Amino acid sequence: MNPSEQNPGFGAGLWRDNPALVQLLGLSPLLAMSRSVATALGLGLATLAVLVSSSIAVALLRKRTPDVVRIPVFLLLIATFTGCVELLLQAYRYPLYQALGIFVPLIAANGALLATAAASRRHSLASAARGGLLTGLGFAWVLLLLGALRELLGQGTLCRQMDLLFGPGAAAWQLQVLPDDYEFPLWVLPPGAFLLTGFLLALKNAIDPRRGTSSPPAPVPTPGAKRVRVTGVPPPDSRS
Amino acid sequence: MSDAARNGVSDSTQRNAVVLVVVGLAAAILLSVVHWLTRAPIAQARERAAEAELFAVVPAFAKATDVSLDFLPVPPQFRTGLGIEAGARIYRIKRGGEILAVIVPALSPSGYGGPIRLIAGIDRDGIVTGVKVLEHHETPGLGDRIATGRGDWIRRFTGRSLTDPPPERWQVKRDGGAFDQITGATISSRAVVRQVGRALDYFNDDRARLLDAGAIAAPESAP
Repeated sequence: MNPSEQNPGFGAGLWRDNPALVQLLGLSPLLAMSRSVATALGLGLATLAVLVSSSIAVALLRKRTPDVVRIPVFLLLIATFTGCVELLLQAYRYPLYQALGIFVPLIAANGALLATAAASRRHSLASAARGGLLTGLGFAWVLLLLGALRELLGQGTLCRQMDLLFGPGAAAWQLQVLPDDYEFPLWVLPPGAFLLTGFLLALKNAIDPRRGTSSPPAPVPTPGAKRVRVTGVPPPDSRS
Repeated sequence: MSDAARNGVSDSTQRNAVVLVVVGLAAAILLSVVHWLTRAPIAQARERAAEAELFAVVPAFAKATDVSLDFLPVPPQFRTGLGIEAGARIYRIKRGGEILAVIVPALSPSGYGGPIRLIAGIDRDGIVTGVKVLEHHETPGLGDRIATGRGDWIRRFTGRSLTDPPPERWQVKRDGGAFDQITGATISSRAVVRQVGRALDYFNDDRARLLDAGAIAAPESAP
């Protein structure tokens, strides 16, 4: 049995099975909300919160959920936690909520969540929480890196509008890295997001062989479980 | 599946239904509790955001504690010029019985990516105290520089009035006016300049009523 299915190793969600760079899940929020460090961090944290809470809930319910209704149950749980995060954001970080716009409710539609929920079903509470946390951090760091790159290359700054997240005092955190009048709209626009994501993917694929972790071992599906993940993984055997 | 066939479909169907109902109920309860807990903070946050938006165009009074807000409806004959609908409000900053400034809403239909909604703060002498774009669909990196927080372009209206420059020069330079257009975003700039000019026109035309503290005004209350 694949060890990561039993007990996700430290690198599982962060690197080897990174939801954004390996599984290519949640690309739409990744591309849209990586315009700046502030929005990227905001959406990354919101997604992380939903991931961890839904992973825990799925693990808690894992023995009571019949196979046939597991997808509706997962979706319901994910949507519920997304709803909670949306309400909390509105209440305590209203400007951030406005900046993230439609991508807050769309957290529920992020494929990484369903994939993680499906995996959590086979884990104990602790390892499901860990798996959710690692996947969430994996998504968040890619989002943040992309956000930093796009903000730096597109507008020449870092951490502008951090007051969206951390209150008025954080408005002064903005770093003007490149000259004041520097501007390169390509990187702020969607094509720039696609290009940079491609570069990141290529970089990861270049690094992996050197670290000797090039091909993630093909996971052996647990009998009766249906895989949700569709990329980088051979189709599950069809014995169920 | 073979289990279900042996034990009769109704058993497993019933179990599935029970699980779904229970999870659904739990989800509904959790959401209701969070909704109930956050209702007051959300209302406050919205009100604060709306007020902060208004005071952003009259920065001189943003910190003042002795001013109050009220609002007037916009008379029908002015709505077309401003591009706004019947429900729109002119907010007024008031100190005692004196109107210090008004905040005029305006909408330009001729943005590059769609309508541009803005508010203009105008003091009692007809001088612009600030302009803020509330909603736009302009190109990121080009036209979106009309919005505050993305360059200083929008601040160039502050301190101007219908005598500086005269009304016919409330245009972008490309059209023979007094205001620089944003490079690569002439259409967006033109839309904003003209609409700010129209807000000033309106202020001039309706000035007597706007500055009359006794004009039928509703007290500031939740919209």
